[in-house]
Amino acid sequence: MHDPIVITGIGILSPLGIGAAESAAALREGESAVLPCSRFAPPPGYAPLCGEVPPFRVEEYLLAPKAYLDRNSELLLAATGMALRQAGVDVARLVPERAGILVGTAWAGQDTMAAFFADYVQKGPRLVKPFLFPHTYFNTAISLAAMEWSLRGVHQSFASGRLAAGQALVEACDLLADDEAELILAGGCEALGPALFRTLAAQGLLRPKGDEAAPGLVPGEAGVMLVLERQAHARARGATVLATVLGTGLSRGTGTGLDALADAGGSGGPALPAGHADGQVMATDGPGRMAASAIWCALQQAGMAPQAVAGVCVSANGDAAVAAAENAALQQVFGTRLLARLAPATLCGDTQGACTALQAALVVLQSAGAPVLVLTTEADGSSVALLLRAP
Amino acid sequence: MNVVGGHTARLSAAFASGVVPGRIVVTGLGAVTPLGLTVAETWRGLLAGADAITPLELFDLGGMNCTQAGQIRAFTPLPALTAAGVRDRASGFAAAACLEALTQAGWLPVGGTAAATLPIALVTATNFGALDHGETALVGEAPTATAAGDLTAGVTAERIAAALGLTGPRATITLSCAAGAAALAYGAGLIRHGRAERVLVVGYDALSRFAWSGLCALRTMAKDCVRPFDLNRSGTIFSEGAAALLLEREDACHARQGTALAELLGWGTNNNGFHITAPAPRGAGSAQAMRQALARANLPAEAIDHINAHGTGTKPNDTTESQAMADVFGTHLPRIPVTSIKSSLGHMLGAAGAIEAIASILSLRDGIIPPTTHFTTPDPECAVNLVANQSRAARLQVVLSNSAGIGGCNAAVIFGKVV
Repeated sequence: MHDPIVITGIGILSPLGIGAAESAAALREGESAVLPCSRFAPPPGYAPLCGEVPPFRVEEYLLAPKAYLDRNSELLLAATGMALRQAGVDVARLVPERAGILVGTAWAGQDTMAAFFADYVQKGPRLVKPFLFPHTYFNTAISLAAMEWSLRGVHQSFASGRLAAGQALVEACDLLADDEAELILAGGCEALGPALFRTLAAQGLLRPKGDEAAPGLVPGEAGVMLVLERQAHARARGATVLATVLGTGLSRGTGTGLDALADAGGSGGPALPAGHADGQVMATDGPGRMAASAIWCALQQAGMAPQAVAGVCVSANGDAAVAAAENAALQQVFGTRLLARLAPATLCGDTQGACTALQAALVVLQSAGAPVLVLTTEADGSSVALLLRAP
Repeated sequence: MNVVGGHTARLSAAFASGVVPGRIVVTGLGAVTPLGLTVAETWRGLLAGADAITPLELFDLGGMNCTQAGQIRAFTPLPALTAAGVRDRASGFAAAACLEALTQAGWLPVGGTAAATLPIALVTATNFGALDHGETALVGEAPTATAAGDLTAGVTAERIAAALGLTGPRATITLSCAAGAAALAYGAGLIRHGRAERVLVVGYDALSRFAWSGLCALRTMAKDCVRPFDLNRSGTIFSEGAAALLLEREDACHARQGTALAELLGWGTNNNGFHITAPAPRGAGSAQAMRQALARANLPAEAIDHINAHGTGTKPNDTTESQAMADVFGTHLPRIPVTSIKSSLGHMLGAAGAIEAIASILSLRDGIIPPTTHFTTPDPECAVNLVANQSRAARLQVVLSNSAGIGGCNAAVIFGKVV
């Protein structure tokens, strides 16, 4: 990237707190924000633990009052407003068509969907609430944000499970590199509620009650948005750079160019460790090979060798398959070298579709000077990787 | 340097500069629509001006006054999905369309069902995902694990990838009725930035009690038929189905001796930033999406030979879309034939942008534009050169397909003829 892409604003609402300062302080304390759920009762028989965002007033971040917002939309709108505010963006001075928004969510507004369909089941199809229906779409929250701040440029809504926010962030960087926008808000949101707990319980993903050590998901919620722009644009408007995006990567699959990726080490890219340059190691390894390919992509784009990376922020969401994939990938790329390690899910629960954005925000808030890898992985090993460096 | 070596060098350069130079071509098409369970059947129906709208019989309408739909009948899902316990119809439509596209592109043998691994990325696009089965998990008794899993839109991508052996990255785009075209834009970006060489894009949706009651409550549906751009149009009618397009980097396609059907020249997505259901004045967002696509294609407006419009048949959409086309194409608009295949197919929701992209490509290939059916009375506020009621032969080099959706989402894609 000739003109680096930088992060100039962070809007963060997570179990750690509301806003960057509160979140950074909580992160330093290192105390878990996973607590018994306070807003609703989880399904009987399951551990009542979750990572809830503390109370907040969405009105504080909006330009105009809203008749109806569900929690997913509240989290995204608050995060977007907060990010714009921190970045010092005066939306009245933006060229709306050059300002975009990209968001990821795995589950969107499940409680709204349940409320809408409850009327269908209990009262009949003619008595559903028409105003609720537009709020049941997966892209409702992002569209409301685009309306609120006249973000009329590039626009994408991802619903790709745990990778959703990560894909939004990678795509935002690609679009900025292509000069498709001057400024993009990118991130993710996930809201907890009875409907999502019911869904996760039915899938057998939650921990049973009374056995907190059992394997299983501890759900978390978050709304996290980053303001991304090219460095020259940030400088021109006098913005403070919070971090630089050095490189981004999406995992690749068998036969999808891994050989070429590894070959790049011998044709102008950074030197790759012995055993990787022929493409055979990544092509034949089992667990972690896809996650490793995402890391290699990010490193290649950054023009960096693995040795330059100082730390890593991993998924660590309690899923053994995710942990195995990430550990194997880190071993493949970084060998036995110990990296400083951050694992937000251990403090916040698994924020699902928002997790890459939360990981990235916390890395920016915590680190300084040295490149840090953000790695988010699905149970099947597919991953998103970001390399960030705070000043 | 041979072509394969060229791939490697280009990928290496891509990771440094962020962009892989080269063209993006479409090599496979697949469709499951109310007009037919293949692209060929659907295309025949479109050219003949057939009407896919019939009484909706999927579920008890419970007194709803929206009774007509584009319902798919006599469809059998892939055995791999059934064996995996997949219950929703949406995944079935999407997987079948993907299978056809991969077969046409030569990645699967004719009559084959799955390969061990195909090095292809997958981007799914939808409004409602697998909700036609997932809705049962929203209320009432404790849901089954499958129904609960059907509540996340990303689940279909996992199923298709597993059923067809797709090993590349996966993503799910949920940009309401612009999703199909927006997914093409995203897929093109993956190729352009060296993140994939081949991307299978599939737009899909299935009708369900949840979706139908909500769509009916929006009061945008016509009672009889869809009359895009007609003075007496009274709304749209929703349909179900899937449409798939395989995108490949041209040199990767040539390296495997594949056949390009069209070139994807340009794409754009945006949001009106105006209202959650109403279009922006003069369709400003649509106009901007079309301009974005033209800019990406590095083409002037006059290069467009045909527009496959969003053309829902609602008063607000068709008026504002016509104004948007007028603003973008100016004095050239009268010579550009415009059609809306929603008049035949109905509005295929998350599949709409993808099926309209397929129709655009087939128009390029065959030199013929399918008609906008049910047209009787011109609307002065929709001053477009409409291909009304009968197919029209045309020499086409570049076509544009325009899409929009609830939430103010817009997307446009431009295809060029392969010479």
